[in-house]
Amino acid sequence: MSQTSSQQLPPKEQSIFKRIVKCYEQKQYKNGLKFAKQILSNPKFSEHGETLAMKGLILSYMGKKDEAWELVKRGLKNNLKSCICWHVFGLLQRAERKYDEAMKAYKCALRFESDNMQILRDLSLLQVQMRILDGYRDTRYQLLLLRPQQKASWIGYAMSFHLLGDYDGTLAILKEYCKTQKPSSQYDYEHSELLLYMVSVMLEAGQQQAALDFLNEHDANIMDRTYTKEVRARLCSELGRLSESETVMRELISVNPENRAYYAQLEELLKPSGPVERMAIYADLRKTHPRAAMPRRLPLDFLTGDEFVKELDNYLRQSFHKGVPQLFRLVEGLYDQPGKADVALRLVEGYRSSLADCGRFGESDPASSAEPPSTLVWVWYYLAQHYSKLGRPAEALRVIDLAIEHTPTLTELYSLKGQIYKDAGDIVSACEYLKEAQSLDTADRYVNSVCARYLIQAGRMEEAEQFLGRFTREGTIAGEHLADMQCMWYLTECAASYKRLGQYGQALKKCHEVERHFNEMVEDQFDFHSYCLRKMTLRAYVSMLRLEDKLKAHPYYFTAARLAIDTYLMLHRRPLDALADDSVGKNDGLSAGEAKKLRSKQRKAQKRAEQERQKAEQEQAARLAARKAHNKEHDADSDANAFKEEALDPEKLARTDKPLDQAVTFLRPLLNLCPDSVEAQCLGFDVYRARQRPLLMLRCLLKAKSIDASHPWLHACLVRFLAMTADQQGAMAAMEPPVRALIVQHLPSLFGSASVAPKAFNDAFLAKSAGDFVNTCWGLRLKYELEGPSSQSACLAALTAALSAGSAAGIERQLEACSNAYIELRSGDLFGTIDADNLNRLRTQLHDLFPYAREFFSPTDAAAAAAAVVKIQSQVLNGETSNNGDE
Amino acid sequence: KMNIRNATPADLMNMQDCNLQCLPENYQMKYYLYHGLSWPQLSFVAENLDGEIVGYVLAKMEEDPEDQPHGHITSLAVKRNYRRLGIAQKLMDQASRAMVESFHARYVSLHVRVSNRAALQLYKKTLGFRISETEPKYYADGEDAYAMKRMLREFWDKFGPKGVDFDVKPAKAKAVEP
Repeated sequence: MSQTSSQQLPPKEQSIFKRIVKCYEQKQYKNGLKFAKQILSNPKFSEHGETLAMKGLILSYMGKKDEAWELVKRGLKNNLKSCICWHVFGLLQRAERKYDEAMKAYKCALRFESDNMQILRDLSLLQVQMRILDGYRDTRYQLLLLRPQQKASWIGYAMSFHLLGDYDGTLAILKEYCKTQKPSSQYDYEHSELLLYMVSVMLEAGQQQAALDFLNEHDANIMDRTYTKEVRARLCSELGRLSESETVMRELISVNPENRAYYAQLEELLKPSGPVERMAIYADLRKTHPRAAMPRRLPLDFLTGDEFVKELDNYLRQSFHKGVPQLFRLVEGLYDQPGKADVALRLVEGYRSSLADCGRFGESDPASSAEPPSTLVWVWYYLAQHYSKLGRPAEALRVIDLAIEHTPTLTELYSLKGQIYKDAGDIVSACEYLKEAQSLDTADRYVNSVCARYLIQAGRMEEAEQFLGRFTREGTIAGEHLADMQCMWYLTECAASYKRLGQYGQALKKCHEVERHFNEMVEDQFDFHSYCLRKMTLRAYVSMLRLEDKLKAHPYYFTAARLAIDTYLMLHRRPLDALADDSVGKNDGLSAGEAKKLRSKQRKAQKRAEQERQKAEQEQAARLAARKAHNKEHDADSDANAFKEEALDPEKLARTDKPLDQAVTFLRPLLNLCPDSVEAQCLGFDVYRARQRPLLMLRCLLKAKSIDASHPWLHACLVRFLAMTADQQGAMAAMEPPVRALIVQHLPSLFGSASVAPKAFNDAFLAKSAGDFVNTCWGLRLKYELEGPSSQSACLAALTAALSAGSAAGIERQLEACSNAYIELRSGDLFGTIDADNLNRLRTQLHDLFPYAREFFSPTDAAAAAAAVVKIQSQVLNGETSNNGDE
Repeated sequence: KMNIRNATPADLMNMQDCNLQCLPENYQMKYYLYHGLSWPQLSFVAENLDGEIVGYVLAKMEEDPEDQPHGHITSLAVKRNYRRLGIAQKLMDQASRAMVESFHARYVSLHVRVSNRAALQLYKKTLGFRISETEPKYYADGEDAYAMKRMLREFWDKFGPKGVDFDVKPAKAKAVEP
């Protein structure tokens, strides 16, 4: 009792307290503190809980977190029955993103004031953010009861049913609401959005007839005509009203003749019997939409034979004639279909010789007009891309050099030349040509970005940052500005490059930055929960919620997560201190002394880079602080109360003592959100294998097998699993009996038999893989794993044989697989320590296959290449851009 | 084969990625969400066969009760290796059409760097924009911007609401040029 009485303020102090609350709401924090002091300085009220809580809340907005927490906790302890104290406690938890704790606090607050709108609203936001959907529905119900006159009350309550999958509930509530609601005029965007939201719910519920009736009934009030047509066409088609659907589909094509989906749907309706009828549809559409690109291009996908040749010929001629430089991009997709690349090549080579001879596309065709000289340049440009895509860099370079000789000032030509070098495995020359390209158009950020990307891939991060800095805000560090802007390509490229360079801490830092950005994007939804209910953009809102639920399925997250997991797995196998003596590969041909010197040099360079970076960061922080001081009046609270995460320290990350826990953190979203990715499951297998969790390994295997049973990585996982189960004394004996039983039970479905030996299983795979280089590499890797050093010469011989298959097996398009294999071969990770002659023989073989690839250069090749780069640089400096052959 | 379609929330991250590669004015994800959730009809993407976003237009409505309803182009970009395919024009036409259809916009405005001759050419010659004024030091680096406008009458005639005159100004509107 005594607690309550000391917590009751007399009227005078009560009015002061109200002024504190008002000051807080109006962000007059200093005045708020002044009033709080007036109450607390009186010894009788110095422990007044609600005043302490309010003071703490205000301090938290002024950035004084520790003091704030102390006061808020003390306030709550002094008055556990105060709604305000609990609410404030919840607000502080929320600011630290401890949402579960915050919700608990709000619920306590509501026990003492069950109809407090503000707390109910705060609670509902956290519930929908955390997808506690039945709780959200209950809170929205409370809010509706309290404020039935408010639009958002109804919409929020209805939305909660939708999110729970109760479509009828949603529609019933909204129809009830609509009875009381008249649109402000015939054209009322919010009303229109509400109607379309209801339609979308009906569609999801599969109520086609109801949806169509509803559309008809409310047609006059709906503003988004295009969406309406899309829905109508779909509904009519599903309800068998095909001609009506066709009419609407054709209207849609008129609205946007470049939407591919419209054509697919039209074809579905018309059901053409074969390519002739199919072509007729497009011939008509070309007449009605002469300027549209889609009906001209789409038939090339399904036509074959002479028809295809004729159409492609027309298409290419028209496009070259119109001066479309990027024609290759438009037809590249056809190259996956057998024979179509050959047709394209024959045609374009034909134009080339004819243009060179007589300036026309065809000699035999006197009707065709003379082309401007630039047409020939774009024909060369096309051919260079063609040859490069097919893994024929020498021919690609010969053609692009013709183009450059003809027109030495075109950015595109140098970009392409760089790309050809990059795709052929020479990132160093690629960088030089991209630098040249961007010097010809310094105002274009795209070329600048490509140039920086190449530099990063070449491991030249500082130089890349200098380039990038030309387009980032002045007074910021380019890399940090890009990170602030959530620039994923930059972060993932850097992570991959640092990992290649063995700077694992830096690599992990970038991966964690990517992860944080994704987490930040999940937080971003917060403000929209209430905003969209007011704006009525409910269709977009629901689709945003569903997107956020699987945001980490994005390829950028996948890339970063995979890099992080691989790095953490490696740090688990070889923690950093051991690694330091191991970072130079066994087969690099360096003596122990040389290796030591190299390592100490690397360490020093790293240290220097780190110091420079720290210095730059300090300067940056100082600048930021100065700017903040300058802007103080404007954003008094925006920064001070903002959530801040601990800074990422590369050194600490690389020396974590829990690498596998970190790996699992990155892994979980992949397993949950990428149900079609066999790689995600294989990655999961690798992590759980390192953790020695046989059942989780088994689960990954079963899932992977259901996705793509023939994936070579999955094969590797299967062999390793089989080897584990074959180890009766070790791994199997260590398992709990029920676990062991479950695994034994699944062996037949995984391997076709309960008792297959790992070696036999892998040999069968190898036999099947003849002619497939990637699979053969995997098979040989496992052979060595299973059989040990005695199998080395057999493995090497098999690898050599696979490479000798040459272009019959499409080796020239397997540069990446070959480089990866060679790097691991050299480091000893593939077939153990290899004597120098064998390694050199293999390198020479690879060099003959990929003469441009730096990975396979001998020391003399490398010296020659370095001289060549100097030559490129001097040409660039002198503005000489003549043909310099293919050195 | 460039597919041009209305942007969904799932596209926004890829639009941000495209923006960071092409333009010096960049925004955090939340700003893209704000566009996508306030005016879901107005933004469009161009994607290639692999689903890569090679161009986009990020657009909004200006909510100024004093003026006629009008749209604004926040950002427009096409990757350099997809230029001269008419993508920018097609994106802009779709955004303009949607502004008329869903928001009854009478004109659309945008800003462009005074030094960006290629963009200026596109807006003036291809798309029919006119310079309405110069805004000094509009960009963070101190460069001036041209504010440009394009009247949407041709879209109005095709896609505008029935029974509403293009020239009749809303009751509250004061006389604004043009």
